[in-house]
Amino acid sequence: MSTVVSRAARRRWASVAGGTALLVGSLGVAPWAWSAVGVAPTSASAEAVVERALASGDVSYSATGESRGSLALPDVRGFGGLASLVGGTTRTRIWWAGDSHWRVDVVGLTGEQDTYGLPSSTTTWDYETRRLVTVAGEPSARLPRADDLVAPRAVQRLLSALGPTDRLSLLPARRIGGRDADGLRVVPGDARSTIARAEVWVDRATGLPLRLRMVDRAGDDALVTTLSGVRLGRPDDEVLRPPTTSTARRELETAPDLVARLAARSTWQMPDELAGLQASDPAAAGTPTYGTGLVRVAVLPLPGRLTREVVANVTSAGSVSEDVAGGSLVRVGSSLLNVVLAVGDDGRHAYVITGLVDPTLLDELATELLASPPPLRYGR
Amino acid sequence: MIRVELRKLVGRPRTWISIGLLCLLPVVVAVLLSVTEIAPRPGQGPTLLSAVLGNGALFPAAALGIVLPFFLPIAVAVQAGESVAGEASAGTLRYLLVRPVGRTRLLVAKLVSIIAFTLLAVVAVAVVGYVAGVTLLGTSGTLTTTTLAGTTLTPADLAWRTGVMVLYIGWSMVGLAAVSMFLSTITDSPIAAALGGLAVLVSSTVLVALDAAGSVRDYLPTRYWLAWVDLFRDPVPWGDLTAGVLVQTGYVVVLLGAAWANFTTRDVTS
Repeated sequence: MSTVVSRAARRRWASVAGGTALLVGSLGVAPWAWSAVGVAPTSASAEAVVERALASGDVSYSATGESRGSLALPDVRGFGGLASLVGGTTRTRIWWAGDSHWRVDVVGLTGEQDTYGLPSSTTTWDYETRRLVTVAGEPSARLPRADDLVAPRAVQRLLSALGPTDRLSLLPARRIGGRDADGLRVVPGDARSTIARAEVWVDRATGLPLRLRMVDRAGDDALVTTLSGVRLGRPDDEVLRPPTTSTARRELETAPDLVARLAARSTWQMPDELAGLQASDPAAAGTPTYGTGLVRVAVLPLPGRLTREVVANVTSAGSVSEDVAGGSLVRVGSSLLNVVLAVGDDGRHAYVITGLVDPTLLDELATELLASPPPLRYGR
Repeated sequence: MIRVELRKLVGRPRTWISIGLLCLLPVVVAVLLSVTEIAPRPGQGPTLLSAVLGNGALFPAAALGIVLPFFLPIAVAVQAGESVAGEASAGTLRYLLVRPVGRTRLLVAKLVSIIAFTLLAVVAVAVVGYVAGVTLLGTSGTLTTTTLAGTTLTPADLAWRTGVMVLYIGWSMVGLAAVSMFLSTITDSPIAAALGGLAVLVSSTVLVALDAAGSVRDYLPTRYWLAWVDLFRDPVPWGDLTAGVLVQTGYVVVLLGAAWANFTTRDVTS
């Protein structure tokens, strides 16, 4: 088909090209350019930024969140959506009125799971199963939930765990979701941590953490979580109230997941020290956490039947069992989070040992536990 | 001119056959659900379909969810691809333009006709879905209609959300129609123009699901197509819906501008 090239044609095509450029500029380039415009450096010290972030738990806001994890963990039955939570993208909507009154929705294409945090309980609504589950109290240990990966919570957890050897420095301030944010770099002081560095951005006006980027030893992003569309102010009470639909299956639980149930029923008196690491919470004697700073290891005793199931799940996903003195070890690794399953020869002692630490440290804890199995807890 | 095109649209049997076929699949699904009472497991199958047993009032949304990924885009792309190329391939374009009819006016009339077809198709699926849902699957006499957040939807809530959903899906289809209409001005083959639009649809769908395309994902034409599901959340998150309208508007403006620039300066020989 031939085309009559004329001045009018050129004018028309030029106006279309100009309009397209204007559109692309205003919708695509302008927001990017605005976010790249420099933000004045902060006058606060790195320690002051940490303090403001830790004190921001009661800042009320509504926002959307996104966390992207690249931790390749096998999907083990009983461990819920842990693998997809830390190994995929999770989109959330958040309404926060304070640490004991909040709601976080995990938004999927065809449904959503909403978690309501209340002063003495947590209620979860799952649209797809139509279950409304209320868990009374807060267990001493539980699996991570989507609300743990929301930027402010994840950052506050990270910063509150910092030890005296961990190093802090300021990063150039930048704009996150249209808000001026002060940057902070955290470098673990202990080389056994699998975190090479963590980068945190904190809202300059409120101290609310807006973004966390955790980089592994290979220099790759292992976890990035960001808050966007932040609107300050207390959300409506209506939004923070769990649904009362009559069509839901209502359940009242004392433990939210398998880990919490196991932690509550743990029969072993775990030692106060393992591989040179002190138990950081001796009160949780059944499921203690060992270590300080960013090198912390959680130990969860497993009952026999579940152990066989978990080991079968993990080995079918490619992990290999290795015999050691007193039992065997099965290692599950990702760039950031490592897990060792330690199974005693007596068939009674088995543990999940996990942390953001080098696998050799987990091996040390495991072999020590298998070599000297803990006694039964007093009174059981 | 617009009236002529609309009259042609309404009087053409093909229009009603394609709309009828669009409505047929949701009706078949409603019949099967009603007879077997086996809905897809939650989280599987078309959007909201797991919630329609006993909640026929939700079926319009589920019906649109059934036809949205494939059948509705095909119908719209074929209609838009036919707009100019169909006249050219039938040899009527040259005669149409010597009536005399301004090319811009003709293009606007074709565009209005495509938008009318799109809205007609979406509304027809929603209305047939409602009738089939209420008659075959029952109303919410015993089961409350709820949002994805579990809160109760009143009939008024359900009505305005469904209305906005119809408009939103209709506008999303107009974005696709703009692609096929632009292609329709540069080829004499209606099939090529329709397939071109569908190729854009498939490419966009593949890229949206690709993490590596994250930097351009928000600008792809199908990125926000499923954002209508947000209308059934509580509170309604308007962010993706607004972004979806803006992205489609961008494609409509640019592609119709290109269609206008090309068609008004084109040497029409057929």
